[in-house]
Amino acid sequence: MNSSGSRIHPAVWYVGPAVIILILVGVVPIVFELYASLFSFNLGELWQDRVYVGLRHYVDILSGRDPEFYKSLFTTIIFTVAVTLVSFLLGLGAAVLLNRPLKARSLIIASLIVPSTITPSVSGLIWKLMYNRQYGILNYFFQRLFGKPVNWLGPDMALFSVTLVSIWGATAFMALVLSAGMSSVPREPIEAAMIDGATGFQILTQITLPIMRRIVLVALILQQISALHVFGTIVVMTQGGPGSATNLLGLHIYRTAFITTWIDRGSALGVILAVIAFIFTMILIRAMRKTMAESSAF
Amino acid sequence: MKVGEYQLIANPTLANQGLTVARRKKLRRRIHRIIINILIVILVIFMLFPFLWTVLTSLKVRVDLYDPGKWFFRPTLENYLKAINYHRVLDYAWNSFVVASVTTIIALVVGSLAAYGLARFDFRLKEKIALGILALRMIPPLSLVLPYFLLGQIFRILDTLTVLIIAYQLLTITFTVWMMRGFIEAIPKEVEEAALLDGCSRLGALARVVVPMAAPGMFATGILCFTYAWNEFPMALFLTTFKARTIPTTMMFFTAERGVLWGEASAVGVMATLPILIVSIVLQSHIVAGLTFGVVQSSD
Repeated sequence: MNSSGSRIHPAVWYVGPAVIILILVGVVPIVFELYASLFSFNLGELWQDRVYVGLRHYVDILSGRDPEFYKSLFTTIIFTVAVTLVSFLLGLGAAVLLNRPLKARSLIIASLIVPSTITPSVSGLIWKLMYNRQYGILNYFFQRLFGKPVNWLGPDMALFSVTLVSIWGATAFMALVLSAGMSSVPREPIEAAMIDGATGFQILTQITLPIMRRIVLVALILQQISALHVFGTIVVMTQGGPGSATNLLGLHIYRTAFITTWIDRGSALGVILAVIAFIFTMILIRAMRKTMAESSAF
Repeated sequence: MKVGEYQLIANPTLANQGLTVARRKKLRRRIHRIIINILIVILVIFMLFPFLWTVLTSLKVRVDLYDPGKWFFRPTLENYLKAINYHRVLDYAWNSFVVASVTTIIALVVGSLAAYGLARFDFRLKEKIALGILALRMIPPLSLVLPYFLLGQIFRILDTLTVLIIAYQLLTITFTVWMMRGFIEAIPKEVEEAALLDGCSRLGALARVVVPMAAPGMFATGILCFTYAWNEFPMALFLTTFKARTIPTTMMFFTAERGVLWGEASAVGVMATLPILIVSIVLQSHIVAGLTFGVVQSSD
């Protein structure tokens, strides 16, 4: 527009402050973590007393000398994929239910807002209370229906139980996103298919979903990344236990750095987690670019 | 009904057949509607029950807590009084409020300026910067908490409200930039150009024309920034201990498997979440637009 060569582009004054702050609070900490992961020092030791060890922590972690790492990675994959897929299916079901004129719509939307904006640590507490073996409401019903209680947060069930809590929150998000997406799908092809006698399921899978496929893709990747962020609910419910049954990567970092006090190895784990999230972010960006290109082509 | 239908089928004249088909269709539609309503009720219960159950628990006296099936009881506010008196909940809530307010104000100012720059100017690195901002938003909090802890130690700012306000800028500014860019791009350029022709400076036009028009979007963005800062857990847990503690970390008082004071824990949980829930439900259309933004671009 009015960029006259030698003068500073006016956009710098608007975008500059945010870019500088974001570099200071986002890029600098990650670079610092990468730097810190090359040294040996424990929680409580002075930063000045650190000893340079190069890539030793990465070698230890990736070679399996940290026996928990691969198990934790595996648990993370199961957890994040289960949360993403199940919440997508349930959210899609909810969006289909909501995709019609309803009297109580605002009440239903309000009920979806509760799990998506509730404080994560409080939702951990709420579910811990419901899962309680003796006094929990779930076992109250299970006892009456099946005659015996379930040890929800015991070694066998804990991963399932914490996954269910995240599904609860993620389903609400998916339902909101997908029902917003569905309301923007044009009516004409659907009406045409209805006249041709297509069933609701056929319309959903052959018309609605293909039209919103980019929205679906972006929602799935976003949900996958935010499942990598889950921490507060699980810390409150199980602290990653019993044993390491619910020890997702985030919890593994917490336990390594603040409980075992190996903050150096924790930093290396932090870098690895950031790399995993970054890979998904690249996929997300590619998907979003295509979405933007397609929507501007309309 | 059923008998009548059977007779009609048993006596197949053309007229009768038509009537049966119509009736069946009607019946099927009614069943369909009932099933949908039942499913919606199940959905709403699944979404709301956990929180309502906690509210119920927070109103029970100790003895009633051991009987989860006791739906009717004499409610008490004892747990709330205990939470306030023994767990300093009001102090922590005040910390949360200060951190969330200051974080939101900074993020709205800095983020909206950047959003304006990205929406209204053309420059070489524009899309790269926008995507870089998005990528920063995706860094898991547990990847950031250790460097923040170490840097906080080096600069001696651990356990202050300041360190939390700094740590929360990453998510709130990136979120504000993405939200506000969309809202500003939706405002026609011509309105602003008219103000510029009338002798307004760019900043003047931004303040007098763009901000009022983007106000609803800015409001929703602010509410969601506030919610994030109010709810944030890992940073608050590791960067503060006593003085700057915020309300979500008080849940760590109640993690023991045995001997958890469920009544008090529930009361703290309700106090921690109720303000946010009420605000988001009252402003639901804005909040939904914010929660789903970035995924559904075409929704206004």
